[in-house]
Amino acid sequence: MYASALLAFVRHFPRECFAALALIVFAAGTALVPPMLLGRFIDALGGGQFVMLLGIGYFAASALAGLFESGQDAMIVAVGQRMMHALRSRMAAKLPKLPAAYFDRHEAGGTAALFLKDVDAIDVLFTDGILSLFANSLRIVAILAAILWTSRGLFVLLCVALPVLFLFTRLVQRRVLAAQSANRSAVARIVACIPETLASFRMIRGFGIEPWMERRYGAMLDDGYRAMDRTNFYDSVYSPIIKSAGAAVVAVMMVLAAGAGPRGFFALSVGDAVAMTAYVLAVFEPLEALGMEIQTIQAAAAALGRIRAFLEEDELATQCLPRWRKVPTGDFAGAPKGADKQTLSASALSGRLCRLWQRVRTCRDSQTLLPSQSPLRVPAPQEGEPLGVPCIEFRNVTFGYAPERPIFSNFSFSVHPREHVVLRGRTGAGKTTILRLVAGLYVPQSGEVLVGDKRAADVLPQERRHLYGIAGQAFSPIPGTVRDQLTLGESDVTDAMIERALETAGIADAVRSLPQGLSTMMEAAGLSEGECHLLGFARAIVYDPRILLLDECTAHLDSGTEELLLAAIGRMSEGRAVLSIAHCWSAAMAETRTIMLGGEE
Amino acid sequence: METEEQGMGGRKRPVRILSFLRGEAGLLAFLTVTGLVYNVGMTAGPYFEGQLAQCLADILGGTRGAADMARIAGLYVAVIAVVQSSRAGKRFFVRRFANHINRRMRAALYHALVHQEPERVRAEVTGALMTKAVTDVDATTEGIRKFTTELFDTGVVMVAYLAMLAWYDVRLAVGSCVFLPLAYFWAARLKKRVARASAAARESEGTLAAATMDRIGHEALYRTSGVEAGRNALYETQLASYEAASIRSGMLENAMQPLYRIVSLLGVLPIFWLGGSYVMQGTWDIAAFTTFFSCFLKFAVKSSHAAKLFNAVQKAQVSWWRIRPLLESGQEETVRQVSLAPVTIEARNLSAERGGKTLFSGLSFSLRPGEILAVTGPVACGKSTLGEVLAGLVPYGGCLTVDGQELSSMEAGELRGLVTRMGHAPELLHATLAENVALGGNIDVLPFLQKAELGQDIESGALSLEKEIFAVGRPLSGGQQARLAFARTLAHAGAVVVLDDPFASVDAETERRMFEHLRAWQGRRSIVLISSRLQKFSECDHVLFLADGKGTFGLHEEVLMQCSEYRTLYEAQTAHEL
Repeated sequence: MYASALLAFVRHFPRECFAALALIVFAAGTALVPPMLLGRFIDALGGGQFVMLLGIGYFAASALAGLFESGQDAMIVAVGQRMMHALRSRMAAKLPKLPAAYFDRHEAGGTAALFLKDVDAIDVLFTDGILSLFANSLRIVAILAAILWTSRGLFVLLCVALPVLFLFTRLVQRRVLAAQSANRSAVARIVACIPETLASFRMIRGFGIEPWMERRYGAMLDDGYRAMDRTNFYDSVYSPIIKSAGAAVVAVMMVLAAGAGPRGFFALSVGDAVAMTAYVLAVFEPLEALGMEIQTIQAAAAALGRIRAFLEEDELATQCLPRWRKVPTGDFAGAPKGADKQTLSASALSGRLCRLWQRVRTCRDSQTLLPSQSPLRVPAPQEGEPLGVPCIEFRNVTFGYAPERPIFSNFSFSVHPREHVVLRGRTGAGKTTILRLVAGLYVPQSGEVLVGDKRAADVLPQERRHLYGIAGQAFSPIPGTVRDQLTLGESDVTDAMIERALETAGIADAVRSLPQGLSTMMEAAGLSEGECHLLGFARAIVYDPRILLLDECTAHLDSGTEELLLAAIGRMSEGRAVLSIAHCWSAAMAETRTIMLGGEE
Repeated sequence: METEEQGMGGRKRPVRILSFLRGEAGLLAFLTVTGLVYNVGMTAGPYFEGQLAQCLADILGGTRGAADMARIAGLYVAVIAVVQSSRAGKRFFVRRFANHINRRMRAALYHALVHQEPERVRAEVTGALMTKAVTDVDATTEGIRKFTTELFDTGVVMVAYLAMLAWYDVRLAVGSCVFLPLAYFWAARLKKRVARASAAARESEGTLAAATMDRIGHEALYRTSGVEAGRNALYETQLASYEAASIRSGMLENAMQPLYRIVSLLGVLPIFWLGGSYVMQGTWDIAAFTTFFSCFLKFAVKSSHAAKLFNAVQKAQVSWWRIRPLLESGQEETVRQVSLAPVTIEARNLSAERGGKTLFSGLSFSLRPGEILAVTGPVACGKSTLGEVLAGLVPYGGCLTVDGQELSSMEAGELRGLVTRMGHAPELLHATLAENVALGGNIDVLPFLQKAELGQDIESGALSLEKEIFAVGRPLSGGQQARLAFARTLAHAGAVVVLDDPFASVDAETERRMFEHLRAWQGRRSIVLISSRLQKFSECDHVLFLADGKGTFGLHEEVLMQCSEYRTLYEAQTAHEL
């Protein structure tokens, strides 16, 4: 897995890789020179000679090694960043190819963590892991070679000591890893506890369970503390043991050298002894780093696996069952936690939509008024519809997120130009699903969904906003200016189009009064919740689409705002085909064509 | 150096950080001893390395024997072992010390959080604040840890090395160390640029995180709007600017360290020059030269770490200032005293407003022990607010009495023990099913789960009392969550129970059975049932219909007669449900 990833990387960035490798080799090589020169200097002194040139050489070699090391570090940073950029670009390119189901199954935060945290982990894998692993292995090999050159006895000694110490290193690190993962899961719980507390704050206060919550939190903190303490123990003990081992090797070397006399297997001159001491103490340094790097690589394995899985996700052709959607009454909006929110707004919506339809009725000219239909039945497509080619047409559509469990089968209906149709039914009956099919996010298992004169899935990206606008349950601002909220970054939206959309949505005045008008940054605009909603409406109609898809609107708005929204919906609906979602049943809806989904409870 | 002064001052001035340190006196004492032993002992390494080299020279020169070497080598290993054990002790206790403080700070922060007044807590704002605060706690303890470590590792050891260098030769000590301030001066000049670059990189990181969240979080919007290509192009430019900023800051941060070392290493030249001539003159032996040399190298490395100390302290200081107000903001604790003594509730001319707009006014109703008051009305009529008024969460106008005592004059703890409210959101915890009902109390949860019609789910094994309810794989459905909240409410109920839309996500048959359980369980409690589902309203004692800011109160039949809107809704629903 690492090898292939590494190879792919080298192939992508041959120049950067070569430069980094060259610098690593030079840095390791030059780092050998200073102790050797120091040894010569001391030997010369012992022989009664004072060779300052060796001293100057020592400094020059040290400086050179420093420069190479500096270059090596800089190069490693650059290579890492290059790689992260490339990886994120590739992942972003994957996004449009993923089926909509992917985004239902995965929370946005989790996917964003892949892009951010996991790619960072891969960076650490390459820079701190593979590249440094290489650099440190090279350092050890270079030092061992230098030692072999001078003293074969010491080399043998190290060949015994190094593997033992390395095994010890790995043992400690495995323990640390276990403690760290215990700590991580404790920390995850500790972190999650705070939003949870806030979400349940009224309950906690109302039930008077503050002390219990504190005890719970305290227990989590204790778990984290204990795991951390274990990590700390290994962390603290390891390096002192390695340092002591280094001292022991030096001591043994000296004793053997003392016993060997001038010609023995372990013989050393004084200068060599000094140089060898420096080498021995230096050879253990990368050992510690080496172990850490192996660990980094292991830790990054999970991240690498996740990113690979993401890049290998099925692309648009197939749609798989979202895992949490086991409960047949499940919700479409996203994570299961969103479900209760939606039920909440569902009931809140009822009255509002009732009033909406009253308003819509008064706004419409009588020509578009359709005869009422039975609200409890799915209306069969009527023959000889008076209004020509439908804007939206479902022909015998069968669809389920799990193909074996269709939400509806052989379902047909149509919405004609300037016709307003309300979808009703309890949560899980498939209302939002219908909007999603219209928007081409999902493809039916059988039958056809036609929008305009095309199948929904065949509508080209650039045609979409000209064809239909979607106003969702809540307005979610994108980063950028107020203008960006409408253009979504596209340059073909003129100010005149924006002006008209804002006017229709009834928010033009509010935008004009902002300090920099349309160019005000969204977070600085300080728009109220209602105004944000209106901005969302304007976003839906900025390309003047023929079709308007309205998902249920918000709950918890004061009635003033509600009036504004309803008036805006009335203006927007004029002259457009509207397909909207409602949850309640109300007499006020009887005059609009209503489609009841999923039968009775 | 002035940064250090600031750092120390900033941490000492507020009494509270000392309160966190005070409990750690024992640890700190141990830490000081091991820290001093280790750091002073550090000079033993260079000393013995010099002695070993000298001894070898003497042996080769024939003046000493192999036994001398064995003695020195043995001593060397023993001393190093002691020094390194102290080091291990120091490292461990510094970390434990920081770990302790971290735990206590987090606990204090949480304590302050759960004792906030609910009206001051807004989930999103407070959530972001708390997330930041936890990061700040980490940064503060990390700063304290680094400061303590560096105080010994850099401060003490530098003094020890310097003393040793001076002991060998003052002139050479000054001559070799003169380059260190130079390196420091250079580093300080570059520091501003490094800080600016790293601030830019951090900002760029934040922008990238926001851009990534936007790109993924708004995927449906961008896809249905057909602008994915444009958004990817924009994301690409953000990636490029992040890359540029990170490379710049990473290079400045990482690659500078070796360069500082080169400057400080200039000091080896005088050592070679003067030290070499000392040996030639016979004032120094090889041991002295080697010791001095190796001591200087270690000193140079240590001094390059000094900058880290100041950075850590500064960061910790900023973080501490941010969390201090949060720690102080906790309210006084109120203890909920559960009261089951039956009470009568009277409302006269009751009104409430939200956002400066009157929701309802002139409400009058009464509720006696053992009765159920059913409340309904169109959306946004204020029925949920009425529930909140009864639970003391929202201020009101007019008169609302409990056995003659005005609700607003009751103690918070008393009111919480009297009125138990089940809100819209289930507000469940990431705990087991049983814990979610018992909430740490000694309660037999099963009967309550049965009242909430969760009994068969448990018997069938679909739910387990001892499993985390949000565990991956089998999360609870919306209906199950609502029923669990219902069970929890009954398990902790006081004399007055406010149920806000408890049947919103259950089917009609379950609703019927839960209502029966509620009736059977009620006893002398007073229940306010707020609902948009009216099928059980005919079985309630009173009905309150809220519309257009006014309320109609009476028996179900009376309200049916008086209020056509109620009748329309009721008939429509019962016709539909049947």
